Formats: sequence, structure tokens, C-alpha cells
Amino acid sequence: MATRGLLLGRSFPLLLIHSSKTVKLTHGYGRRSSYSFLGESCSPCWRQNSAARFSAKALSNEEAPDVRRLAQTARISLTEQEVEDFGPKIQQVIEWFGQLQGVDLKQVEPGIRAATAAGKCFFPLSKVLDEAEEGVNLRDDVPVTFPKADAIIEGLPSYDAPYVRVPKFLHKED
Amino acid sequence: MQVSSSSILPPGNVIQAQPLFLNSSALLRRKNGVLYCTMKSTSHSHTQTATEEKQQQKSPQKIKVPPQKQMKEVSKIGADYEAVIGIETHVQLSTLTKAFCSCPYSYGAQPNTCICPVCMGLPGALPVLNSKVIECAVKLALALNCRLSFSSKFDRKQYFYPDLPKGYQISQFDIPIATGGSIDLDLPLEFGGGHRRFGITRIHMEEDAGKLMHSGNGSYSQSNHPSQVDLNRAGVPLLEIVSEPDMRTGIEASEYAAELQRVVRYLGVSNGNMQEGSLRCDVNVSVRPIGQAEFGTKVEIKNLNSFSAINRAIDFEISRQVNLHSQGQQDSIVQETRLWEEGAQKTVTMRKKEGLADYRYFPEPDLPEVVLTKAYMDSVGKSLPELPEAKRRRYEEMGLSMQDVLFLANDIAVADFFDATIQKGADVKLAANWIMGDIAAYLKNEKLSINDIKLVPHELAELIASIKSGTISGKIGKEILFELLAKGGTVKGLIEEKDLVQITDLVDIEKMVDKVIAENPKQLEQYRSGKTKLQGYFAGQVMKASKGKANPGILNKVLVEKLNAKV
Repeated sequence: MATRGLLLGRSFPLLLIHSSKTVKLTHGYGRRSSYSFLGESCSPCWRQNSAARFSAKALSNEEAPDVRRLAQTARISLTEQEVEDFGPKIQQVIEWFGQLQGVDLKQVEPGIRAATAAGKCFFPLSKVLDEAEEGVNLRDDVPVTFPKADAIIEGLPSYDAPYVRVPKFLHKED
Repeated sequence: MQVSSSSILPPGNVIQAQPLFLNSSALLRRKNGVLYCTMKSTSHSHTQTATEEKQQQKSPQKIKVPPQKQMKEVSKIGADYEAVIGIETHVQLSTLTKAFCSCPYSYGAQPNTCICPVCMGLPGALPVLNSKVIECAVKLALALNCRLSFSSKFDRKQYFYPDLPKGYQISQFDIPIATGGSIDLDLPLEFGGGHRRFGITRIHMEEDAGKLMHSGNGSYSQSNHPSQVDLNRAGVPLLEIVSEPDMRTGIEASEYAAELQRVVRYLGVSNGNMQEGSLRCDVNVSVRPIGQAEFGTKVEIKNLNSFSAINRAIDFEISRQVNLHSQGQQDSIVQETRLWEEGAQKTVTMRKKEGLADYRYFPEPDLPEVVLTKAYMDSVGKSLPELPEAKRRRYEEMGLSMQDVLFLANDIAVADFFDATIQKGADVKLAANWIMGDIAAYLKNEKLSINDIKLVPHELAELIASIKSGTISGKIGKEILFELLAKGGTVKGLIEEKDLVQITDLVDIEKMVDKVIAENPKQLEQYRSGKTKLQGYFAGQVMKASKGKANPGILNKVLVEKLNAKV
């Protein structure tokens, strides 16, 4: 758990540092941009993530972040200068979050995850019960064909009908 | 404990033909938690810790020693080692839509047609969970006696791979929907039979990735890189079931997988087809000297496409590892992934695992918590059918033999047919015989399932009753059965229509016998002069005359009397 919290803390700040000129993406397979970068509103996960999820050791005075490894796992290529610059910046962000360690949580029930903005959660209800309760956030198992599938196909960088052509690779995580 | 020596057979030998298993079923009465180990496991980061070892039953071995001396030696060595096997199973749910979008999924559809921005991982698209997925997960968890989490969450498992559009898989990491269950099964008789209970560590929900197409001959060789991808399957809901490392032999492992298949088919959550990929098993095998508390180095085996492949691959791997141990080379066993090669009947290195993969799990910010209420769990629980284990125990109690029990309980449709027939009052053993015999043969020939035939359970019950009461003979019964299977109808109707009522009246039979004897003086001579086998000929003639309706028992009694009487 401790390690995981640490890694969690470390990957994110790297992505949050939004330097438009120098950050390049490599191997960007369907890269998600639904969560926002620093400078705009942070995703709820950041704001409300319960500090109890991180063990006492995480997010603080550990060794300096391994920027090269972080960049490698995130498939972001950095110049040597950037590797040097980002280390301390990442550390600063981690320490900023580290302030949460100061909160006394002995009386607080650990949360599983941050509640979403509207406090909703998945609440599967049996057909028998009244479904008017708040928090039902699920979809019924009813098929709907997406009408613009060919537009998706057209947008593919490389298509070998009927397959998507992909570059050569050896193993996962290579 | 023991290691199966069947792995030493030369390639091509089918294990089933030679049960060389060393553990006698009666002795190996495994109790729940004999070897209790917790694995903090996700499908990729296994950290094993043996927490307790409650009991270790060292059962005496019953070895059927094969003729060759070499085999004798290896099986002797094998007796000093214990194999520890754990299985991770992925079950593809048969929901109408994918897990997080409304795309319909059908196996075999034209590639890259069941897609939308969500499952393709296009920017801005957000997942919305399919309620049916939770229902399936809860059903399976209850069927496997698991503890359900009232609250669980989804996590992102991040890695880059061409069949993973988003660059992460939505899964459940540390708080899965279900933990701590068990599964009961009965080993087939040809492998010694016996009851087993294996632990289930956890069940969690996740989504499937796309399908990589290997160009060329489709083999897994290093030089044969996949270069094309079909994303129809991306986003299809999966349930991952992780077992406790409770299995000890290849047959236990393959029966575990078969029972999982039975359960998911009973529940209707998946068609559990290994060939289609809706049931996938990855097996982890390690060996250790008996008495050692620590686990040996664990090896993962992939590319198992059938239950028998699971069996053979594990047995092979156990003997490979045992051999290395016995030669003092146990250090050459490394934690790695090996592939099972069906052609060569052996496992080969795929790649060496360099430490644990770093998936950078974190809670999926786009999906809320999954909250289950007691009312919901109860209502799902009520909707469960009678499960295979319960059926087997009930059938046993009805007095059926284990062989019958295993056959009837294997397919829920067959079991339901049998139950319906019994309910109409049919004799249990007779009903079982008809279903396992003539009806099963018909299904096999015509390649039908029991739901397709025109015969209905209450007619089968009627047929059985008619034969039992003597209204029709057994032979006629079989003919009627065939008619009913193919065209339906009623037993009573067919009996009337074809005038099949058995002739049991003594006087009538005597008349027919007299007539046949009178018409066949030559054969009568031959019989009287010693050819007593000709009784069959006379019986046949009477049967012909009576259109098969003469009661065979009475007929033969009368024949013997009359043939031997007149002097």
C-alpha cells in the first residue's frame, strides 16, 4: 500500500506539469484527456481524495522522484534539461499534498474513494424495489449501435481493413 | 504428497486413458483450509505469503507403476514433492452490451464494427457502468459462497499495449466486489473420484481488451509480431476469479475449471466456452519438498485452450520442476511466464518476468462507488437456480450412482429435464437410464441439445410408467421413444395409433405359438433333434406374427413348454 501511494503521488504531478513546448507524447494510444491539467480545475479525485488512503510514509520526505522512470512509464519523452528541472518541481507538488499528513484522522472512517461531485454512487436496485432513490447511476443492458463508427475508422492513423494496424512491439511495458 | 506420473508419458498419450494418479480419493479427503495461504493477488502482482498451515495430511501413496524403470524412478522422486497450483480465470459475461458503453457485442462479428468513442478510448468519452455486470458479479459471488463487499470501487490499471485503447484497463484492485469463497466439486470416477473443496480468493469486475491478430502462422514465436488489432472485444465485461492455491494435481485444476464453467452456465452469466475465449485460465504452478513451509518459485502457464490442456500442461510443468529439483537445479526455476505448446505437449519460456509489473493503480475517477444493499443481495440470491453441487448431493440422496449423478448434473438443461420427469412420478433410476442412454445417444447423433427435442418430460414419465405396468414391452418402448424424440406426440396416442399394446393373455400367446409351430414342422424337427437354439427362431416368428406385441417373458415360457412337450 505504501508503495502504491507513493507511485500515485509521483505519476500525477508529472502529467500536471503542463509545459506546452517541451512535453512530447510518445506511443500515445488513445490518450485520455478527460482529467485536466494544472492551471485548470483539478479532477475531483485530487481535491477530495481521502488522505487515509495513503499510508504515513507516502507523499513526503522520501528520496527524490525518479523522473526518468516516471517519464518512461508514462511514455513521455523529456530532454535532459527537463529531467533536471522537473525533479524539484515534482517534489514541491508532493510536499504540498504532504500537508494532508498533518490532519488527524483517528476519528474519521476511511473512504474507499472520493465521492463524485453530486455525491452519487452506483446503487443497483432490484426490480422489486422502488427505483426513485437518488444515486442510481447505472445503465440498463440495452444495446445501442453507435451511428458514426465509420468516422472513428476514418480517424484511425493506420487501417488495414478490417483491422487497425499497430506498430511492432515485443512485450507489455517495453 | 504425490505427483502424477502421467506427465512422463510420451507426447500424444491421452492422460484419461491411463489413470496413473497416485492419490487415492478416499485418502485425500481435503478439508477446507488444509493448506491456508493468502495471496494478495491481482492478476499480475502475486505476493504469496503462507500464513498458516493448519494440517498436512501425508497420505500413503497408491502407485500404479508403469513398466519402464525410468518412470519408476521419477515417480519415486515425485513422491517427495508437493505441487501447489493456483488458477486465475477470466469469465466473459454474456451481457447484451459492453461494460461501460452500450455497444452490442457478438462473437464473430465483422472486426471493428462494435465500437464507439467510449470503448475506443477517444478523448472526452466517459464510461457508464452496465447494471447487468453488477448483477452477474453478485450472482457468481453468491454461488461461490463469497463475502460480498457492500462498497467497492473501480481502479485504473495502467499499461501500454496495442489492444488497450485507453492505455489503462478499468478493473478493481484492492477493494473487489467479492472475497473469500469456495467451490465444491466431484472428481470424475475415471480419475479416482472423490470430493474436493477449493478456496476462492476474490472475484472482481473488469473490462476486456481488444484482440491482437498474429500475422503469418499465428504462432507465438518471438519473430512473429502481431500487427493488427480488432477492437470489438474491447470493453466487454469480465469477471476475474482468483483461486486459493489449493489444487495439487493437473486433474484437480482441470476439474476446478470445469466446475467454474458449470456454475457460470447454470447461472446464465456466461457461456463459459474455452474455445471461444469466454472462459480463460492462467495457471500458476510451483513445487516444494514435502514439509517445507515456503512456496517454491511460481511459474505461470498461458495458452491453455481446453480442460485437458490444463491437466496435461500442469502435469508436465510439475514433472519439469521436480526433475530440476532432483538434479539439484532448483535455482534454474525462475518466476516466468511459459506457454503451453499443444503440438509438442510441453511448456516453453515466453519471457522472463523482471520483477513485478508496475501498473500504477489508482481509483477510477470517472466511476462512482458500487454500493450493494442487503435487499439487493437477497433478491439476487433468491433468483439463483439450484447449483451443481446442491444438485449432485440431492441426486446422490435419491440413490443414483455417482456416474449417473455426474452426468445428469453436468448440464442444467438435462438436469431440469430429469427433474421434471421425476416430478411426474417416474422411477428415478429408469428415468436416469433413458436420459443417459437412448436420449443422450439421439442428442449426440442429431447434434441437438435437450431443449431442442420434441419429447417432453411428462411423456417420458408416461413411457416409463407404461413399460413398468406391462402395457407395452421394453422394445416397443424404445421405438416409441424414437418417434417421440423426432416428432413429438403422446405415448398414449402412439400406442393407440399403432396398436402397440402388449399381448399378455396366455391363451392368445398359446394360440400364436401353436400356429407358428404348426407352420414350421421342419424347424420343429431340428429343434427336437437337438438344435435348441432354434427357440429363438420360433420366438422371432411369433413376434413377427404379433407385430412385436407379444410379451417376451410369457412367450418364451410358453415356447419352451410347447416345444418340449409333444413327443
